[in-house]
Amino acid sequence: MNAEMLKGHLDNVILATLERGPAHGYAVIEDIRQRSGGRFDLPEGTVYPALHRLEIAGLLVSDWVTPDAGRRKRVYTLTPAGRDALKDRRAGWTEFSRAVGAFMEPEKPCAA
Amino acid sequence: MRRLTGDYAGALERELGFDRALADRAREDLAEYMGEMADAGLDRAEAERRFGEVHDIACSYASAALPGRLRQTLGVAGWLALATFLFMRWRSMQLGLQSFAHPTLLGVVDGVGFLLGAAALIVAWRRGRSQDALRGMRAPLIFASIAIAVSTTASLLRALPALEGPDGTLILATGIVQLALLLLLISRLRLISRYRRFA
Repeated sequence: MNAEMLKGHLDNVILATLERGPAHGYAVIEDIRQRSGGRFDLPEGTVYPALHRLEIAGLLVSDWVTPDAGRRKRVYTLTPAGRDALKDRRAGWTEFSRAVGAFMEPEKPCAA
Repeated sequence: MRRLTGDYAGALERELGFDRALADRAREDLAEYMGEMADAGLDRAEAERRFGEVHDIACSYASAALPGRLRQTLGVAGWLALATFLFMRWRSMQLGLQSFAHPTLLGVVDGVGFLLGAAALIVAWRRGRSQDALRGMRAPLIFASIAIAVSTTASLLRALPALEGPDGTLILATGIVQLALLLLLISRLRLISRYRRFA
């Protein structure tokens, strides 16, 4: 799947990733890679601006966290508004994919 | 298209240099990513390749930040309009300038300028919800700031003779507040204009 196809859905993918719990930017990238089986071929740097966009929209909040041993990382958490948005987008996506799926199914040959 | 180089961070910062806060955010994100890549044993060039082409990443940051910047600009414009209206009314009442029977040129410019500015702000606010908010909001915001600047100038000129009087200090203070808000709005407009190259 190319980056263009994913572009419109990246925000939803990120929200769904953070539904499992707070995570820093690279952990989000890793989770997307694992759950998609490496199918999303997008520059990894595009995830960070998307996180920033979702934060501006109030769907995420971020905090700097410094582990005992290691560098400080910006950790993102889904807000209640983010959970609501994800719920709505999930419903919209299910409806949309069902509708498109109806067209994409191969036509069954007519019974002779 | 800018090629990936060893000075990736510098190139990204230059691309986003028009918005200091955004450039800082991108630099922090990149540093965090490069740290993770270094821990994973990836060399710098490969990490930069995986992060993405500099201009594309800068575009992503710009489009992520733009809606917030537009909202902030609209907020400043709203405060300016409110301050202009309240201070205009206060000065008019305090100085007995509201003579509708004998309108003066400055009085008309003051009132009409404000009304046009407020109308342009409403247009900008409505266009802010469209897909191409930057293109839609910029022109009415510029028009609003000019109209409100003209109104403010006219309002202050009307109050000028009273500067020597007992309300002089307050009149001066209201003028300074309006001027400060106007300058802030102009700086916000200049900032969002710089986003156009990414549009």
